[in-house]
Amino acid sequence: MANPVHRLNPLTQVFLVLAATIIGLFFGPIYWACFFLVALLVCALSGKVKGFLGVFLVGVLPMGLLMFVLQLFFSGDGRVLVDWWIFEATEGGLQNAIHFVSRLFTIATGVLLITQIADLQRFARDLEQRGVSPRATYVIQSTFLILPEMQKRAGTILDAQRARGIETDANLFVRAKAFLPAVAPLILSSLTGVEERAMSLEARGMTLSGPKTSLLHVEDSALDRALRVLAVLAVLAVIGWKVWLWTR
Amino acid sequence: MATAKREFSMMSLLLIPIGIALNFVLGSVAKALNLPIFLDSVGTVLAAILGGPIVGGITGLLGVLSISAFAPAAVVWSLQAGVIGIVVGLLARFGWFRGSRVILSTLIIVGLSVLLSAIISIAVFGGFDGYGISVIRAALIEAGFNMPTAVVITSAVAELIDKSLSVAIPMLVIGGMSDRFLNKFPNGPHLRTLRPQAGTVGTGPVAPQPATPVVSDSPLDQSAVDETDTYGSYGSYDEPTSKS
Repeated sequence: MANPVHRLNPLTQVFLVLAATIIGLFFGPIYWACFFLVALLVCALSGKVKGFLGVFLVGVLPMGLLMFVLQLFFSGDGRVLVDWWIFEATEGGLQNAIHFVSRLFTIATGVLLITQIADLQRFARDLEQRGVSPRATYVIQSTFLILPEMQKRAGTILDAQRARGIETDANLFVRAKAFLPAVAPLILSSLTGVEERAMSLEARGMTLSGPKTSLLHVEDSALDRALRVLAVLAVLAVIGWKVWLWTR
Repeated sequence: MATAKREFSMMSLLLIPIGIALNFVLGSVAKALNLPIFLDSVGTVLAAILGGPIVGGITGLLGVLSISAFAPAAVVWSLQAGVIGIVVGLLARFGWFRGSRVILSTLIIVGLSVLLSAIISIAVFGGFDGYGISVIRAALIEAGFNMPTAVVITSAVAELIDKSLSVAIPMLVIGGMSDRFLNKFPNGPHLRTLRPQAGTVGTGPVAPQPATPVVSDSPLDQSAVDETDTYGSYGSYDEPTSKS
């Protein structure tokens, strides 16, 4: 909570990252590189570098590499750069490759940055302060509460079914047959859980109307408001500039 | 309007996180079993069938957004998932998941997914979206197809398998749910005839229902029962839902 980025209002964080990402869609790889470095720096401030780089290396980089190779060899035309067997890399292909990969990386960097720095609880509370129904914010928050719980239950069910003799590591057909007995109990028990959850929420006054008090208060300073306006203006300016270039 | 209010009962709101978590977990079970399919929209379809179009749409959209925390590039598919959720919810509301019409509904969903994923894939990533399937696309292009055709062919095959299963699994589960339980969800009354002769199987002759309307067992949401179409729904007492 100590660093300036974390102190920002969550909505401001979303606005800034969204603006940076949208602007990035109009620019190439150099913008992405800068964006990536800034994102890395911001994550470093909050000690999230490991998570940031980890997800990027596992979830984004392989996709980017595959995309790059495919675009390079199977799209575009122009001067031939490399010609080997069925693979023919052209200048147009290289341009396409750079264009689309930097777009992928820009989108991914934006999403990754916001998922790393955003504090879900503060975000939900901020939305409530802005008049969003607590039921709606509960939906967002509870997703991340239910997920690990359900993953654990899925593991338990799979183990239980294995103990009952369901094959889970034979050939594809056998494994496919194991899928339904693995997931049907999970789905049914989750749906039964919906009712229990609804009752306990009701018992805790979730559906009462009237003002609710929260221990958490999220600041929305003048700086936040200014930054949000700036973010919107920046996006509009870039779009306007591009449209002007295009019509000229 | 009653349906709008029911769509936001506590029960249906809670379908959203459950649906999202199911998308995620079923995807990982498919991965644990080394199945060559995504299966990451089962929860969306289930939530949409039970909860209606709004719940379905939010489940799809939020589901993909939350997956993006682990696979950031997935964020571009959130629109597709949201639309699929809305359409499934609408189809369910108009009874298109009953009887043999399920097949038609599945085809509509498959067609829509192919269309949307092709548009997104080409518009955002120029066709090669970085999943394994793009390699097959490259091969098709090398064989002389143009990009849109290659994208549509590959997505059609993938979506046909994925989305048929994503509809079939929720249908099997809902088929095993009791009417009592189904009624608690906004779309429940539209789904009950989905089961083969509910009320006549297993329980013998059904006692004629008294003229009083059936009241929901749920203390939460009395509006969850639409009085006009709930009579005779208590025929079946086999409760497979509570055992797993």
